[in-house]
Amino acid sequence: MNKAKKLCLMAALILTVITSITWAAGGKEVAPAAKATGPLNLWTKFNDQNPQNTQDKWLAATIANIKTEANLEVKNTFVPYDQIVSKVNLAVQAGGDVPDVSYVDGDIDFFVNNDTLIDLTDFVKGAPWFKDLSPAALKGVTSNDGKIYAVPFLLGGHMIYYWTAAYPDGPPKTTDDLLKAGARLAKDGKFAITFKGSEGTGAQMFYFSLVESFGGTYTNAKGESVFATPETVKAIQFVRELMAKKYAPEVALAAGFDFETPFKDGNSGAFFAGSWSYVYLNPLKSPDGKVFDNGAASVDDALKAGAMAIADPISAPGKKAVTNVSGFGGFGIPVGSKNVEGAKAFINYLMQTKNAADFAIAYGCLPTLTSSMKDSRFVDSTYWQNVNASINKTGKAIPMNKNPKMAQKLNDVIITLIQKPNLDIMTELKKAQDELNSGM
Amino acid sequence: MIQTKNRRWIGSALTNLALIAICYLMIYPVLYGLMTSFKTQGTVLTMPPSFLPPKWSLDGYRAVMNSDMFRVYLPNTAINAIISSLVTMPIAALAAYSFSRYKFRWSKALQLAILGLMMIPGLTNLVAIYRIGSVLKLMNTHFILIIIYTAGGVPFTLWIIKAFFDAIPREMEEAALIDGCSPLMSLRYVVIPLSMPGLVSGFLMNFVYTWNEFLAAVVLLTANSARTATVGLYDFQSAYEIAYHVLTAACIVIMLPVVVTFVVARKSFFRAMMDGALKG
Amino acid sequence: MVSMQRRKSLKVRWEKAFPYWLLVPAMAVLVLAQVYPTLYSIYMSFNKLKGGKLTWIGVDNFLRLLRSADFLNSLEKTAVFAGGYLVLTLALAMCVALLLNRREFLTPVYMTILFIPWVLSDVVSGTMWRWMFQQDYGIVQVALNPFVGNRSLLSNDVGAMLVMIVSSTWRSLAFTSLVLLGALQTIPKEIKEAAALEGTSDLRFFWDFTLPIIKPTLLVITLLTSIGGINSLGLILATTNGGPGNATTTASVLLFREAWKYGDFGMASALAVFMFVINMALTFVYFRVLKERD
Repeated sequence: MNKAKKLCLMAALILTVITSITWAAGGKEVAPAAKATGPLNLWTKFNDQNPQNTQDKWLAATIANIKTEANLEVKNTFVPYDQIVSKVNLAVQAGGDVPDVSYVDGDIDFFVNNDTLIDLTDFVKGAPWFKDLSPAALKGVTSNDGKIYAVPFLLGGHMIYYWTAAYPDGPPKTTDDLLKAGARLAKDGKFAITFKGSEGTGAQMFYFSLVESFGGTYTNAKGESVFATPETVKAIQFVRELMAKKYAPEVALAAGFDFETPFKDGNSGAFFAGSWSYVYLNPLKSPDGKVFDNGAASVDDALKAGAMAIADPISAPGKKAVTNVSGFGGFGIPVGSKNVEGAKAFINYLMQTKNAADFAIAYGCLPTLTSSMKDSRFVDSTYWQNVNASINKTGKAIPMNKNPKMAQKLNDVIITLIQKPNLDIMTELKKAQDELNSGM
Repeated sequence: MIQTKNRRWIGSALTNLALIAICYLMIYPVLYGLMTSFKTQGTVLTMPPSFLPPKWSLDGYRAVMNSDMFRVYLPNTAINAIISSLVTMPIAALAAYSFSRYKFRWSKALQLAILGLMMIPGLTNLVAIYRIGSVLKLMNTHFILIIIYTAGGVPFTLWIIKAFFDAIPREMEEAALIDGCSPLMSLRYVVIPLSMPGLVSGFLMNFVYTWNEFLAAVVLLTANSARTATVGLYDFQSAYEIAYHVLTAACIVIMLPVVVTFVVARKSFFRAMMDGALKG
Repeated sequence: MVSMQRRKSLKVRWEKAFPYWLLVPAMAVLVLAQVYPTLYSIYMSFNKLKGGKLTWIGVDNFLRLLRSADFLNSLEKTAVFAGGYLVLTLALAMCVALLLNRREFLTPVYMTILFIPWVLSDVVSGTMWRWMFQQDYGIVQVALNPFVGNRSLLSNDVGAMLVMIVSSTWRSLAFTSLVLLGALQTIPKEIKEAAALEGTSDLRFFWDFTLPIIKPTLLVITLLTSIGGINSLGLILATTNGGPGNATTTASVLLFREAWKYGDFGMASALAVFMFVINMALTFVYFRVLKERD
């Protein structure tokens, strides 16, 4: 054989070997493995080896307890909060090392659309704690065709934290109030409100509240995007005005969490928060100079001192306030998990009244078990009672969208509309809506 | 004559001034990061921001030393960088020798193909690599990153080494061959010693590239124990608050080995870059 | 007789095949870790990946890509970013190269310092730049506040793009300068002396002589820089993460987002194929230029 042929043959041989290995293993349904030995593989965004905050410490304690109480050995892998969703999905799609059980943030529709999680409907409906589970929580993890894909543990509310010094006559209630307050506070060089308006989270929190309150909505029961309506346009016009007049800081549109700084320094009168925000809002300085530097208890101190107070989210003039309760934290079992029984045991262990309450307190949310809600730490706390009342009064669960890009895309469109005031709002919304509905 | 000398003196002074200014601008971000790393929690965020720390402190570095960054991530990065650079050398050297010394039918085509591989955006291959890695049970090991880095490093290392081989006159090898050496022996005893500077350059370029690599590491590694330094930088940016003095201390710690290596071996780097980019 | 002939022909065949055997390790590694994954990615671009299963959908991903506003936006952003980066790098690197060419005493020191940005990781660099432009306390942001009306550059679409262009230039300035310096040093001394005797001004000399002589190198640099700009990812992610919104979402960033954030590996692969084609086209031009030079 001449040299060229030899080289080709070698190359072909190598290619064939590799291709056959990979095609044999991938491309088809990953076969369920035999009962796994060894510890349960858990992925969370909590760092139990090097605890930095209350949630990390909670996980470390839980892993220790679950070993003694339920004889279950759990090994946690800390995956940063902005990678865990992608990593779990990548592991499943590429047929890689999938964790046995994973923490899932409120991106359930992302996982459902990609078939990343195992259908847990039977497990959940047959579980001893099923009747104890709050229906609102359950709705957030149920797909549009009635299947349950994760077990919800955390119920977060949204509200306004505000400095009483900046709002001596009471909190702003409607968008008109906010604009008036903005004009007043701008004279002192302060902002009326700050919020996270970027990276999809904005769409899920602040913008959602506004759009829904004005009468628009993101998704219909079939999972299609339906936000290109005159009501949504009104909501976005408000945000445009708010940003153009500089009543809210421009940094609200940037990535990351720098939008918190103006409120922490007393330069912004109000802050659109999640019920868990107090964990991170420290140290604090009120507009009239009072300092609260007590770690996660700073907000509590400020509330007790009367420097800070809590209010319902902003509503459209004459309309009710609305908050998004579809974003839950919980646990799910990825497709390809090698220890499904162990994963279920882990979930069952956590879904006990006291354990679920511990998790919720450590994270800064309400628990999803009604019995856990009766825990003294919630009952005796004005803060949590307020959060609970707020969720019951304003909470709304939206159907899952067919297209997981919806939140990010809508957020991007809103930011573009803010930065380019000449664009027509309805046209841009329609463009985005059509594109989302035609994809995936 | 005096006029020209003066002109030259002024010209020289201006040139130096301009270069000093440019150097200062180029190094400013690093200097500022360095200064920030010596600040304390209370003095990092001040208005107006200060360049020098009002109070020098090692808090940032202490936090880094106590974290996984120092204990786990940096050693991982070091292992990956050193081993993959070492592995790349013989592979690239053999191939470079082949292209440099032999005329064979597919030589040009293969050279173009290999160099062309450098232009593929690496990200696209990561899912496929992830799949191969999982199937072969290599996930979260040093092995998989080393393979990726080697494959990434071979093309440009080959290019650099070939330039050095080309520069060695064939007469030296022919003398060795006449004396009875096989081609491989002449490679080992004649060509390689003569082109050692080029090999060192290749090793160093690879070392810097793999030390700094981020994308493959973040996609392919999940376990804490296998994490590399650049990925570990995320540890210091928690969801809601960033301690900039610790973050910049971590940046300085990550960049220190590479900067020191560069400053010490700069001639080697320059040679590799000049010869590599200018010759074809 | 026969055996000696066969031995001789074996020896000849071995010698002829020898260069190929030398290439085996390199080929093996490259095929395994580069060629095969690329082919697999191309295959994936014609599929949909869900729940670990691939389903063939033909050119659907490509059609969706072409219709997607995100994609068109990313093309625009890539052009702006790569273009700005190219122009700025060439202009500044040319100046630096000319300055270095004067062979001042401290040139080695200057070169060493200039190269420090080049040896930093893209995410470390991005982190440092993000700190410098942090909207309340970033030292550069604060210094620029009087000129930009107190607006944070990184929260603004134009500002963020400017920061990216400048930081990318910052990273690669040294390398480009070095290559241009090498080219400048190939200008024959005789020409310089002759021009000095005739009293040609520096500017004239630069325009009439320097530029034409180093034109091939300029072309090479243009291509390398363009390719670098198009594929730049780590720096953008670490500084702005494609934001605010999608103001700095170039094609590379979009690819990462599609695969990482949305899990749409089919579309990401389609985008990857597209970028691959663009890169290949640029590479061909690059090789053509190199060939012409020899």
